[in-house]
Amino acid sequence: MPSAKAAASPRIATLDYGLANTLLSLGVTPIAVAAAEGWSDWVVEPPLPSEVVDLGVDREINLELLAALSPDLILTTPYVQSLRSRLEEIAPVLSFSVYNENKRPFRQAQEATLRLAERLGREAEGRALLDRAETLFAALSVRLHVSDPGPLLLVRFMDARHVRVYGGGSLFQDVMDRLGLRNAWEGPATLWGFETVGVEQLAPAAGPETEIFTFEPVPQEVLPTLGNSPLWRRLPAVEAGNFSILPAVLMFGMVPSAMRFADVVSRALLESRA
Amino acid sequence: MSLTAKYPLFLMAGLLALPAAGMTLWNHGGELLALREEISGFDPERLVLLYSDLPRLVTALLAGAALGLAGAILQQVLRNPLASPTTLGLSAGAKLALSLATLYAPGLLLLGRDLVALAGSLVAGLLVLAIGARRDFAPVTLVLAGLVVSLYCGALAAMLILLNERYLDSLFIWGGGSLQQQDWSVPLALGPRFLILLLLVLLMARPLELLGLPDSQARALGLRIATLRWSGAGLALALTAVVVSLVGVIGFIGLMAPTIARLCGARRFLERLIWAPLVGALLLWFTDQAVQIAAGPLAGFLPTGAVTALFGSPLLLLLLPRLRVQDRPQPPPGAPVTQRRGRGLPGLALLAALLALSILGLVFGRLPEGSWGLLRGDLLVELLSWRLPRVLAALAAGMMLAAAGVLLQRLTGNEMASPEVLGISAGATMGMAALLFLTTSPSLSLQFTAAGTGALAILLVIVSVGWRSGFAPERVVLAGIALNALLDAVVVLLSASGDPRALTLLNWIGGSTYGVTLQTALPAAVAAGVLLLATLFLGRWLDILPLGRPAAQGLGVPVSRARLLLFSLAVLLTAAGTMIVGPLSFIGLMAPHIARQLGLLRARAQLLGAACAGAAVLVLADWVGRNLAFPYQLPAGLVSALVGAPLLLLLLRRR
Repeated sequence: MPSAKAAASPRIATLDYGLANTLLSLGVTPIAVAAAEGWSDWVVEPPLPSEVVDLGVDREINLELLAALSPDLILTTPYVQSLRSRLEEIAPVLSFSVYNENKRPFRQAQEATLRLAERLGREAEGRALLDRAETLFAALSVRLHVSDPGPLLLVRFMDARHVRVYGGGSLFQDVMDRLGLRNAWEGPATLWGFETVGVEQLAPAAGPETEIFTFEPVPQEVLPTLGNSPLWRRLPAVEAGNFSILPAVLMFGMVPSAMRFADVVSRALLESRA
Repeated sequence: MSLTAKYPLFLMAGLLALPAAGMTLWNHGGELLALREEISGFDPERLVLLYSDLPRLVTALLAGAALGLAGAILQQVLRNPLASPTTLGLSAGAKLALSLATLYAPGLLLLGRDLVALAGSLVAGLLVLAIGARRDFAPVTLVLAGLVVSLYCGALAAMLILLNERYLDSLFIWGGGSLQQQDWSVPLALGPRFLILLLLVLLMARPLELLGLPDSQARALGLRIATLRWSGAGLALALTAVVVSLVGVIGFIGLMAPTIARLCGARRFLERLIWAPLVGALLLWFTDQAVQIAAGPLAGFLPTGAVTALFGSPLLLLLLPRLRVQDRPQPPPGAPVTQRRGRGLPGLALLAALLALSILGLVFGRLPEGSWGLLRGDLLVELLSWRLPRVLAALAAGMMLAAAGVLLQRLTGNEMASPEVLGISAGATMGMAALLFLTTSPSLSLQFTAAGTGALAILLVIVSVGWRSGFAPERVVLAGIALNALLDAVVVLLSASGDPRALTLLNWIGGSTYGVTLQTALPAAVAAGVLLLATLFLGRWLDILPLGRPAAQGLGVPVSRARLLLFSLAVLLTAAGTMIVGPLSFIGLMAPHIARQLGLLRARAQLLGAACAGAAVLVLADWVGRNLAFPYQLPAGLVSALVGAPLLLLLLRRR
């Protein structure tokens, strides 16, 4: 039975983790993914099957290797637009824009999922994925509403002095809106939904009610240094003990990453209030 | 030593201090005034002032002073007005050590970033000084060695970033020299170290001052010159390492501060010992406050260290003509290096090597499964269409840069001249970078025009600086360093701001043949052929021009017209070559030396030999880049720099 299905599924290569993740959720295993090496650090769930070929860095995937694999279809994002004409020499290219000036990545991800599912003749699986997401969000938002958590500050450490803080235009923001969670960061954010700032610039957003979350992987020397810094330790949120490191969540992902984020964050919030 | 004689120094100090103080009040005045009030509860503004703004200000003052002092000492002990932590490669060494530790031995960082950085700058410094010591610390050799070590470390660090993009984001920021603080640990660590080192320097001040005398006189006064030099250099190294490890790379302050002090009238070393740290501190304070105004409260941040390089390098170009540098006479580049006079043999050997490497590059390497082997049959046919353009482009670019190197070395009479070292390649890259911000998808001819314009602009600067000094190596090389640093600063600023165009620029600088298609490789090959033929056609001029204007005119060469034509050829060759392999490859420096070492001394023979050598090295570099980390790929320009730089250091040591 599985072998018959494998024969029927198209050979798809993808240059983007989010698209690869969506493919897996639709029940299709890509034959090749860019930077597959880093998957276990940045996406984690679901694990990438070991037979998936690593294409190299997304902006400079190994074209010879891709050509030798002779895929039926290549999935990309506008982030690697410069490669498009060369990819088209190898196979038809389908590009999906999720992070753009609309700054509504979750809605864009939903539309992209349906478009991709349609292209693969898997409309049912596509709609099921979106339904699963809505069901999850609805269930979680009820539980979160009861426990009434404070605002969230989502950061990723660049080093002990600098963080990327996620705001409007990030997938995280869209999911928080769905879950009825408030983002403590109201400052500016780039097209990609984050802003790089010094730790002390978090002060206005890090009140004692705020929960600060960061995600694996955290650069190794960061935590010991943070422990010594009055600016970090005396952030009211940190003083109140509201800082935790959560499992890795892909920040530029699509619907599966949104679900993983909702799951990981809700679990942390509900546990801390329990 | 009357006060009036020092008037320009006080004026300069005032010109820096007043606006710096004004900007500080503008930035933090409100919070400073609020300090007098009682605090009630948590006050983020006060916390930020006490644990971020104030330590940042003190750090700027201390780091600026330490670097100014380090520069002043280095310039004295090496008798080299171009010496500084930046130009001797110390900062780059520290940065590389930190990158390596982050990736391969994170445990070391827990011992202390400072120690890791210290080790890196020590190694870089000792390497440069050891090469310099062999040649009695000749200013040009030392700075060239420093530049090469800098570029080498930079190339390696860039490669690590390319291979580990996501992990090393923080190094981008650190490398840019962000002064942001979040407690007093940095100034509290920097302050005592600076004071102790300052004390040691002051204890040695008298003997160090006497180092300014000619060696014979100094010896007659009973000075142990070598010991004195090494201990002075050691102190400067320690000062630099402390700043680099605690703060990051702050470009050019260590060169600017003593230079400004000297130009404003601090003629004696003892005066510069006071004024260089003072000017350095004020300069960094001024820059940092200006950066804070420009960045605004939440509008991201600019790394101050990159901004100092942005301002420092052009300022240096302006100051350059006023510097009194004793230029050492250079042996004419045509002078025999070895007595062995090459006939046909070395040339044929180079050609054979080039052919062998090209074929190797096409058919041998990693197979799609990842194992090594020869490509055969259908797979060869299928993959050749991807591979051929890259090999062809590498070959063409290598030839063009090599020819440009030969032209520039012969025209400037400077054996260290090359498109990379003179910054002409950097100019071409900046031209393309500018285009990146003007249009989204520039055509090939537009890119070539932009690269050519950039290269031409830089060449004009170099020629105008060089003309007045008769192409004195110091000035020309220094101008090149300044321009390379400028490009570096632009990239660091872009990267830190998170602009995605930074990655495109970084790829260009790395010099990957990745983007090459047959539509770009063929024009490059044609350009290489035509330009090389034109250069060969003018070969006689290249033999005669180095003899000097009167001799050349006597032999019937229209000197001005010949120079114009040959310089134009160099610009075209550089622009076309740089478009393919970026500004770092070192091919233009390496290839002419390889040809000369093989005994190819006449202009035409050297041109052909260098073209073969340059093409061979770049084809090999491209092959290594495609196969070493398969399926990940390394840019050919960077790989070639990793081969080229050590080769150059060897050449430098041998002479």
